Amino acid sequence: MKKIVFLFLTILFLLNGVSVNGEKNEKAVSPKYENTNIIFISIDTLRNDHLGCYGYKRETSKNIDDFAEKSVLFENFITQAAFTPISQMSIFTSQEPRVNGMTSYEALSANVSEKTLPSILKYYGYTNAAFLGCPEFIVEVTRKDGLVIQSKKIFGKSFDVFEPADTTRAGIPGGKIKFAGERENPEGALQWLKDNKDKKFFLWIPIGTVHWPYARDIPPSYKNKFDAPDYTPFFYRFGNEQDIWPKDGSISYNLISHIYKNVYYFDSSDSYNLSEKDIQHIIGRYDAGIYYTDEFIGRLFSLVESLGLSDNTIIVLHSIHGEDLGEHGYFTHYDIYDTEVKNALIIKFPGSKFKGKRILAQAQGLDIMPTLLDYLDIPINHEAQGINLMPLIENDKSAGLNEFVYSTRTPFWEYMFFKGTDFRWKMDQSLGNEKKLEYGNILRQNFEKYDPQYPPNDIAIRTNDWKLILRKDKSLLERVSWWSFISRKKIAIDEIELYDLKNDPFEQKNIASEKPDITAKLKEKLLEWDSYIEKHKAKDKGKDAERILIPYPY
Amino acid sequence: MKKKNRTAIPLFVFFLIIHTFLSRTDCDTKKLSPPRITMSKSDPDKSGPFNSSLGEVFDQLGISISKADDFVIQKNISMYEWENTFFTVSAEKNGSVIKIEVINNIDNNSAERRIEEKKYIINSLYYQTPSPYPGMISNTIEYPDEFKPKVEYIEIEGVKTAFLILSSTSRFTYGVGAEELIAYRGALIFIYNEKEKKLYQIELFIPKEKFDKKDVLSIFGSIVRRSKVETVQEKSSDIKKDRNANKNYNLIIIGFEPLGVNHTGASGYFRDTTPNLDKFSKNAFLFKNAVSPSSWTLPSFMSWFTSLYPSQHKILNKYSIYTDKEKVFSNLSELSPSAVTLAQVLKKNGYSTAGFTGDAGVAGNFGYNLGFDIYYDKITFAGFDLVLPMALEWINKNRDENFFLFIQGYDVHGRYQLPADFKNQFADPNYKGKYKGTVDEYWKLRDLSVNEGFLNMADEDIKFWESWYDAKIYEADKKLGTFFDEFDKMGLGNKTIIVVSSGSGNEFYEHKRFDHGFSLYEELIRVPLIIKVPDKKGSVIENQVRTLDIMPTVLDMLDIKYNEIIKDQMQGVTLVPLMNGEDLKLDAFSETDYLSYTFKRSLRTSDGWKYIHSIDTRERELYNLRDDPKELNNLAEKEKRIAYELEQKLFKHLKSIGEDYKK
Repeated sequence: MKKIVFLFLTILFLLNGVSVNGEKNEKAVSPKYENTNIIFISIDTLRNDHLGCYGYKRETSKNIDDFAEKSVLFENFITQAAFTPISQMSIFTSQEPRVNGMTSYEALSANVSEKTLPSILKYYGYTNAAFLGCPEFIVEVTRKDGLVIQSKKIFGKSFDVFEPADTTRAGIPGGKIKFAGERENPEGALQWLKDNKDKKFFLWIPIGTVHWPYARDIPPSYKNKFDAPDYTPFFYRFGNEQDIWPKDGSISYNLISHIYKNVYYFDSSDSYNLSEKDIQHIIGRYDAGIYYTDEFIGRLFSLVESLGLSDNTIIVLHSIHGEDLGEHGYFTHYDIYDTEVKNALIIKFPGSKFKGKRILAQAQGLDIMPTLLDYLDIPINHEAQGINLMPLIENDKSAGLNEFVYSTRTPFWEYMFFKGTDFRWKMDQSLGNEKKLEYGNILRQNFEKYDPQYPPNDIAIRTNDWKLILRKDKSLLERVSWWSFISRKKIAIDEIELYDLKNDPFEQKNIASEKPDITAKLKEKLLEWDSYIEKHKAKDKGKDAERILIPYPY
Repeated sequence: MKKKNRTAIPLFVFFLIIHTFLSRTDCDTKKLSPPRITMSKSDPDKSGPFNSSLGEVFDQLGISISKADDFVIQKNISMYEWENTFFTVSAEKNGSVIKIEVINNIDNNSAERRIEEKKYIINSLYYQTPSPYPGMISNTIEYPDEFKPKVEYIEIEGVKTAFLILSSTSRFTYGVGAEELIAYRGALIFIYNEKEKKLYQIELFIPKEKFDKKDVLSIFGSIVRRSKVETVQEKSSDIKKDRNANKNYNLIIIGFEPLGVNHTGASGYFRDTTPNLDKFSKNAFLFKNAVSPSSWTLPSFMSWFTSLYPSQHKILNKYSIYTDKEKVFSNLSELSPSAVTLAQVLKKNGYSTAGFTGDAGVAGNFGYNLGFDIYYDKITFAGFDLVLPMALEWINKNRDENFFLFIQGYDVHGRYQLPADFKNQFADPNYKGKYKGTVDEYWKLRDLSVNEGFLNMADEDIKFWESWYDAKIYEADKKLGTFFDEFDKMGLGNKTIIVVSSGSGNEFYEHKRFDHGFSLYEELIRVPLIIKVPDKKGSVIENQVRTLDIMPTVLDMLDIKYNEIIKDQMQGVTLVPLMNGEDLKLDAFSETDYLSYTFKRSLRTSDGWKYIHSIDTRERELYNLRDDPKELNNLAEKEKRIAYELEQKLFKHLKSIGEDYKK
């Protein structure tokens, strides 16, 4: 019954929310899309619980916390994926990855949905500008081995200005790569804002300075912000002769890709148990990245204020995805636990309307686009899969709610190794060539048969009380597991994982067998959703469906 | 024991004679023209025996046998015998069989003669006959009395009528004289309908163990001859209301198909194709901007009668399921059981209802026949020449009732069979192309349109085919003109609302194809709509309206009270305010799932934008109809905001009618 009420109300409110030509605002002066700017800040790899406004004890985010006090904060904001471009595209299109076509980095532009938030805003006369502090959105790769990545083409659509942050990096041998704006503060955005404050704009600012290598690319004064005094990073004990570690104690990719369950596996023989201080050093560097990002954001907000844009600009700040910091044994974004998919979402409305509101009901990445469009009095795209959160924000008692939200683990980390999207493991200096060959074979043996399709995804369903993860092929995951390979240990993976989020928010104890009823119910719902998504999957353009002609009536 | 089995040979001889007698008539049919009326068409799609009841054909027979009208028809035959049409219907129920032979166009004397002949033949089956082997087995062959036919009497319509009680074999043959060969006992009766000039031979065969004379009496006793006068007299006992106090108008809805408004006088067409319709329009409300909810026959007309969009009434294609394993015929009662048709509403309000149509996309068994007392659809792709006279005849019979009449003809359709002497007055005498204008040629072009998606036609060929279309329109218009004249003579003009429209238009290469159904362009969805209202001068109305509005409009004008269910059902609105000079801005939504080959939806706004969305290919088209009435310049990529907003509006509409493509 509840579901029917929910659906009915959702439809009712979706219809209510849709207003063409501002009929809803007959009394108001003009539709909001005529005079409201949007600043859209997407922070990569940001754990919401490492922000002060989400309860973190360390002072990592003074400016964001101040900002949150003037805004609406969503306590349970869930993204649909845990990889940067996939999560972001699902936000911009309000469609699940399989539906919008961007399920991994190699998605081709022609196969990805074009109806994004910026493209719709374009129809309404917005100037769209982006200054990219995340390379994932501006990468263009055409490799000899056939790998093609068109992120710039995909994300750059509908943008009048699509610039990297200020520095560039050298190309990688073997292909043509433009690696612009790797993990810098997008300072360009500030200048652009000064120059274009009188335009009606949509300004997208993705920031990647929190992403690993933690604190490597940020200035020294920030790097050490949360370092413990008298601490020497443990990894200098290993491979120092080869000079593989950054000199400043930064946490490099090569390091974290060898840490599993607090054991650092240097090579086949050597391993080291991390101490508490070691873990704190890693986390400290992660937090330093947040601190540095927060500082930039502080400057951005001050600029917005000083330019007089506060009363006619809506500011969305969200994390693209989170990060596991050892809770599941690794320091990266790998799976779809809450550490990776439960993210920050803070929206500041013009004039700080609704300020201080904290919303506990689940919100999804898919919901951002419908909510913004509705606020701006633009008709919501019927293909959007998220709900409009404005009624919830406006305290409407009959607002539709997300009883269930879903995340998809796409692509697998190991699949990216196989595809070559992530080639860093091949450059790993602490892994001998023999090991690389061995792992390469494992990848090939297990993934080749799916090529060019993807192996079956892991999928998750979540309520504020429960999280259920279903792994469609757990034996595959066990065989290819990178962590299993570097630790030389067989890792048992459960096909179904159920977590009691109220009592076990970090999803440590799988209680699927203890709660068979809840497991069954959530599994059923999840599979229902999954088949719905499969049915609405983006199709490759150019495929002709077989037609059966029904005879004419005679 | 008498040698009963010896009766077999003379019996055989007699039947040979009768058979030859009857067969001779077969040979003669070749000299006659093919039947214009058949009792049944062989429908390759209906699996199994006919499953229509006898009651459904009584109207055509001119007789009714109410105690037998639920017998299920097994066989229909029609034959010719000189000038007479000779029908046979055989129907069955629980093992009992009833056979009705009808001879049409037979006068009193010939009928009497025929009855005598038949009686003689039957009786002679039971005469004492000389034995073929006299002296060896017996001298004569005799029937025991109990096997001989018995004459009985029954009153039929107050007239004492004789009938015979007879036994017959399992093959319905008489003259049987052995108990073990008898399968049925039954009866045979002759009825002559002087007014209709029809002679009926009605035979009843009841399995012998079930035989009860009372059944025979009951069935024969319920025989009623139907004729013009009779029908009226029959109905007069039914009328509860005072006829004179009856102030409800009659309603006639006339459907051309497929006539686009672009080829009629209303749109300023360069040829004078519709002089009669134009004349008729002068005293009527002429809607210049009427839009059909679909671009072909089947879904469009159903929308007229339900005021539902095609995806709501669900009569989208001939079959609702069409796979290798399953073929399920579309039927309104199954697909939309709660839908109520206009005929049903009017019938409930005491109207006599009839439909005379050309079958195909308006075949009764799609559900078009619901609510109609008579629904004629016997000849496929029939035209006005067939249905208009029938309509007039029916009007005459029902002139004192409130009546609702639906007339539909395919005169302008590519599959309409033109008479051999048809002259295309609009043809270019200098035409040097290969086409002759035959149905086959046209259908080939249509198939090519469907298979290839476009044609490559020379200008002169396009003009050629248009001229044929126009000529057909002209002829159909002429017939309609005659009908209007005849109708006026009946003096019912001042109490009849007449609606003239069409299901769709027809494409002649405007978008590189021929025929209709596969797109939602102007040439297909803009149809004529003329409504003549008694005592109203009429006017020209430019506002955009939909043929979906016909039903609410006529119900409004007929002052019919209808309940909430129907009110909620009707998606259209009444156009009476427009006819009263008010302003109404209506959006027109259309759909087509033609042959399951294409799935398109469109929105034609009241201010001249057309947005077409192809669900299968996700193609989007936007046309500014004021600047680009031919829809050649797709602005979907240029006017992105308008395209976006119209798309949302279209999908909002689709969602509101239950078509949520996200499901």
